[in-house]
Amino acid sequence: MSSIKGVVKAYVLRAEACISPVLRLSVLLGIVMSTLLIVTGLYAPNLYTPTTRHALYILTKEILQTSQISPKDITIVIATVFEPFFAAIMATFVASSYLVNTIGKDKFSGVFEILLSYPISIKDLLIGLIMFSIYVAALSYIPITVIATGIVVTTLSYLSSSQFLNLYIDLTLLLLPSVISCILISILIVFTIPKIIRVRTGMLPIQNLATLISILPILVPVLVLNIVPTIPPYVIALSTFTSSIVLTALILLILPRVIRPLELIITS
Amino acid sequence: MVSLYLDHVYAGYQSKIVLNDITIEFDKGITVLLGPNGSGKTTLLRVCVGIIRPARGKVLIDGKSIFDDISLKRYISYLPHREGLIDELTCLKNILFYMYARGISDRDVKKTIHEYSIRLGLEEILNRNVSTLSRGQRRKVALLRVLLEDSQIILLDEPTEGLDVVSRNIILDIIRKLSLDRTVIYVTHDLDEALLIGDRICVLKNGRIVLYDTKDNVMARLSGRKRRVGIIVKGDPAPVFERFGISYTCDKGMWILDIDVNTDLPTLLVELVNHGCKILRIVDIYNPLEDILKE
Repeated sequence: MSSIKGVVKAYVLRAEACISPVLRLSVLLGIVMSTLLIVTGLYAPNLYTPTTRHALYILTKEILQTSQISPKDITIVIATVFEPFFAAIMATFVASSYLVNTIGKDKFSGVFEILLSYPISIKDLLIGLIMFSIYVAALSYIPITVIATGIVVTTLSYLSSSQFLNLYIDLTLLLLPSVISCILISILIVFTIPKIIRVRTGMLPIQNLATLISILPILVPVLVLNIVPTIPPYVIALSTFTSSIVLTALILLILPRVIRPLELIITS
Repeated sequence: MVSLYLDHVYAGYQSKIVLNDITIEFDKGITVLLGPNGSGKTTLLRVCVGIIRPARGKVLIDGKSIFDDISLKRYISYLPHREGLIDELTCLKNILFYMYARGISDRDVKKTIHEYSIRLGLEEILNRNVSTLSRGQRRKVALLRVLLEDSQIILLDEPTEGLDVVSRNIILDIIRKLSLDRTVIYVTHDLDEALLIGDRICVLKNGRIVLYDTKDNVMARLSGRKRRVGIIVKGDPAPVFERFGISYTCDKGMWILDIDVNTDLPTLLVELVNHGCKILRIVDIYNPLEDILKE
């Protein structure tokens, strides 16, 4: 068995342990958060922050080309524009927090110390870890997106506005690479500034500073969408797509170089 | 036989140098590494397995540098102080995880995994999650991995820590048999264990080798010097002491024993328990081997 094939096989086996906890959390988050987002728009839009309400007002005017805005119109915008961003945030949050936790635990328990004593290179180890990360990301992204899509399709057909479904699908597809760039940032952080794993932010959903940093590629576009609603959502999603591709390539390029001192992996 | 040779090695972590000019050749048999905390034992193992690159000097396996050719690591198996077990996986999956990573297929280990797990008493727990195991069981699973790797050079960092006497003896027995045609480097804090299992004793202090000699020579230096141990027990241990030929006195409930340095104390304690005694406290009053460490 070649070393790279062996490492990948080992990490596929390693990933088995995450199926149940990641799926459980993803399904729970997907159902609760996606439903909450739409139900709030439909029945209690005043619960949104003033900034979000302002953004929703402008976006609704732009997308639906209407001056009379009803809760139904706001819900359409929430379902088609906010839901894809929200689903991407949830998926990256689940994947990234699980990864940071798992890799941190493996480092602490001596897994890397043993793996580094094997005839495998750092490059092989990284490829194994990246495959593992993609697996975890898929485990969180697929259920959350499927659930969110189901809720959006139901909502749009309930509101007789299925013509807006295309916008939702476009945005969802454009935001997909951001999930990959986010999990790569997690790996980069764990191996370069491992002390960050222990820093707590105090924000309950993103307790870990490493998780907060790694979801920035998707968090920043959501903030832009809220603060500058005059920029079309499609443009924001497209720039997120481009920046995520560039970021992914950049991280893949620098990752093997920045974690070169092996002792740092096991001792820091 | 594959040889492991360290040539004037200086190594440490970032700017801190832990090992100072280490030159040593590890031969077939068991070399026990002894030394106080922080003396560089674990760092020496990490250098030997190619995790820490020396600031100066070379680590050679069969005359080739392990840092120039990582395929040489196939000759090495390493049991670190932390077992490296993944809590969420079963024992068997933990083993397979490492076997795959090392490039060994499950077919290759199927037969030996059965054989070794029976010897280590692990056959019942192979399908249990690691998180449910005791410290001793975890140590055994970690050792099972090392045994399955079937390497020529085996480095063990306190493999019997946390084990009961019976399990310890089983493991020491396995290691002793392995060492007949392999190089074993064995780190321990336990002076009894060092003398019991080692063919050679290497003492590290402040990152330097202060003693490297055969066990026989070390024992010769200690000859005539008795070790004094105090034991508080419930019951009458005298018949057991007499059977072992140990001279003893009893002072205010504590049995003071003067024993040879190579007496297997754990086995004596097992005998005491089998005799119906309850051991309450053991104190090492004087151990001549500690003199060597202090020197």
